[in-house]
Amino acid sequence: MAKLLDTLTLNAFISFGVIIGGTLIGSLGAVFTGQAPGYSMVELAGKLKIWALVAALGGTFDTLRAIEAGFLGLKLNTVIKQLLLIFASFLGAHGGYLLILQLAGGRIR
Amino acid sequence: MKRLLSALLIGMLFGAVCMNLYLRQRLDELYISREKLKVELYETTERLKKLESQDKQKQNVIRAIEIQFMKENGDPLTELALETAILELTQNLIGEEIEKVHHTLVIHLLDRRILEVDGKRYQLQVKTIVIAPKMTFVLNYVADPDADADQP
Repeated sequence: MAKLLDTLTLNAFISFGVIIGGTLIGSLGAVFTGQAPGYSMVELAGKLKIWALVAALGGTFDTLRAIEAGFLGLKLNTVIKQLLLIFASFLGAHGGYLLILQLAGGRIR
Repeated sequence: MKRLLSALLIGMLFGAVCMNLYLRQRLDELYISREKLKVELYETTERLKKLESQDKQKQNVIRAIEIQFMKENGDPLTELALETAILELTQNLIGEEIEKVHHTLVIHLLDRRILEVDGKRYQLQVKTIVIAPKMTFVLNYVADPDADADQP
């Protein structure tokens, strides 16, 4: 249980970091290419959300395979565990996205 | 030494990010005003070309086209990009005699037309058209729900 909690926390923070880091450093690139940094931040955060989830899970296929194996083998524990992992990653990613949205003035493009 | 260099690099990046966040609003405003000026320049150049080529004796002709959006909380960058695309579509109206402009055709030129801007699709809705030497289109736009999104 404690190990699962550790993994969930780790996943949430990884996806949060992917969004925050990717967006803040990515917007520097926007400045160098003559684009609006605020708009790029919101756009990048939206685009990176799904990828942050994938990065935190370590690739989608392993998770999907585990869910499939869990369903076929009637191992509900595995399925619930994988779903919790996805949810934690999503929570981290969405938290990062909301933070960036507020930093950029709270507007959605 | 390597540690020091890495720390320096991270510090530089951190500083650049902080500066970017601090100047973000001003840079955004400058970017928007630059885009606005680009649209104005394009429109003025096209109008000048048309007016130079047409017969200067004609009085009742369309000389300029103005686009207005009535969407509340509309994104200024999207509206600028849409304005450029619409001006491209309506350029041929400049120089036309006002009496000969077919209003139904003009409405169908833009109404329910789907335009792609920055990878996103928008559908236009014509609200009002003023046919005068300065022709005015009052439009609304909605995001096209069938737009594709990136998937992993």
